[in-house]
Amino acid sequence: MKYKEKKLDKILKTALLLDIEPEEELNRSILEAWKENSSMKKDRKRKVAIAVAACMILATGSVLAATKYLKMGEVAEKSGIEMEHSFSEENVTEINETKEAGEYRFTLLGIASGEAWVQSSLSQQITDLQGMYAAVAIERLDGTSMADTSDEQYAELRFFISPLIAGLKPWQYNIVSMNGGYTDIVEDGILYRLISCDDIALFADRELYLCISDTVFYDTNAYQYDENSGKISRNTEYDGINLLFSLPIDASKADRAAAAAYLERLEQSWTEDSKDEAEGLEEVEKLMSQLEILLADGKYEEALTGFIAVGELSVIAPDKDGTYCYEYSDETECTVSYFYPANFINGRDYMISYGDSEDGWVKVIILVLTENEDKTVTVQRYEKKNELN
Amino acid sequence: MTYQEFAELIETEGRSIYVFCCHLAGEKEEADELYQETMLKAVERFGQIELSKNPKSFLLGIAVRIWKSKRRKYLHRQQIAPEESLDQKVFEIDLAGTKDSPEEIYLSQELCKLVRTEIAALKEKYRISVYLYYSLEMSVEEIAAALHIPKGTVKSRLYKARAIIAKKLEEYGYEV
Repeated sequence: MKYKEKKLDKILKTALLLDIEPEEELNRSILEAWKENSSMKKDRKRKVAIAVAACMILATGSVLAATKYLKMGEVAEKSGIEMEHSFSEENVTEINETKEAGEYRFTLLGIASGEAWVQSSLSQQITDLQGMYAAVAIERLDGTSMADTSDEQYAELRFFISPLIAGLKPWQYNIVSMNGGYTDIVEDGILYRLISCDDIALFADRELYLCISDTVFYDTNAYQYDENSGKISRNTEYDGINLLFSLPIDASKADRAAAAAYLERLEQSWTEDSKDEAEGLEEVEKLMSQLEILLADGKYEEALTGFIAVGELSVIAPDKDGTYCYEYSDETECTVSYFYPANFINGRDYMISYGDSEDGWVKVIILVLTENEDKTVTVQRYEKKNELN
Repeated sequence: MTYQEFAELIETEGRSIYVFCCHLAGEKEEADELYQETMLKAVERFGQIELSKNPKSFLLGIAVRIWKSKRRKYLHRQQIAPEESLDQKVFEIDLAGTKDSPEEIYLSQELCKLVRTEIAALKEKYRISVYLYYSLEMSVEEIAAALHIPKGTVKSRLYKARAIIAKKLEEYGYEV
């Protein structure tokens, strides 16, 4: 059996052997593009990343005529994102609401939804981004500049900014799970974050929020979710930044049927993987049941079809408590099986189990126990791996 | 990340990433594009700190995400203009000189092509794990880190993939 597995491993390795390298010209063009991007950053200071977060305690909230900030359309433009009909004034709902927390002032500039696209300056590739957008300005309360996206200190900043939906568990439904991402730019010492995710306007008949916390991902300590009302609120005991803005999306954009279909699709995508992963183990469990039936009926030969005997026969005597101890080891670990006087039928009994083998495959093990006249038990181990479909 | 650091990253990890892109895309042009985008995205998206932890897993994770987001475009392009596959271009060269032992004789070019075809027909999640495990010889732990999935999930995917391939080969009359 082991020989067979090694053979299959060898076949797979040989079949996938690829003695190939990227052409020098290709690597050169990548390095050139990096240089070009790097020099562009001096002007545009652009950085793209996936969902994340950052900093401290809440103070006050106010709505300002934020003339000193870039408009949402300008943030998008400088981030290299264009929207159909652009992020124009009629497309964007301006909010300009400011809240302070920790060392920072956060201003929710506005929100928009629709279809947009990004043209990468590096690869000339256009990526469609359809969904909801929100722009937030972040500045330091002491007036010092935010770290530029090319600075090392920028990597230390952690701001998790995400839309949340009343009635949906926030730790399950947030920017990470709803196919979101963000773009950061720094202009005149102010960090602007443009976030995007699937369009939550479908849920506009519920309360919609934008959370800002100082965590890497959504933190259940920072917010409270009322299972009965579906409302999401700040945890006032939280020692850190846990802001919560309301998102004023026009309730007429709500579409309950589409929202339900979206949730179904989303949840399906989450469960698809785990279902498939379970398949393999389900098959093992099924085999185990079949083996149990055969062995209980004394059909050892049939049950052991496809199994191979591993190791030498072991003769085990019971200890003073009458317990038998069978010990064996493979390449990576030592396993000890304990059993009490077995229920011998025609002088034989069995134990079956399964687990990961040393090379990552599921291994089914049958111990066949043969009763001896002197109260000892002879044990032969049989194993089977990779035979399930 | 400095220019020098980026150049070193390409030097040390570039080949592995490129091999993986070749397997995934199956076409040289698409593989080049995927590789280029992966390397640039890595710099664009993340700082030096994250890269220094486990650059290979990190880059492969990016390649997978890009591939998944772009595959419809790639598939569409392949339908419009079928290109010479990597099978024809590359694998033939690799098999030269592997016929020294009886074992290697057994691993004929025909069998390898068949195996590659069957691997290509696997569900994407199984296929990706197989490429990472057998082609890049990554450990289960490294694959789990690259794909952001538990180790048990990686094992399960590899187990399933092996079982499928073994069954197919047996159907074709090969003893495995």
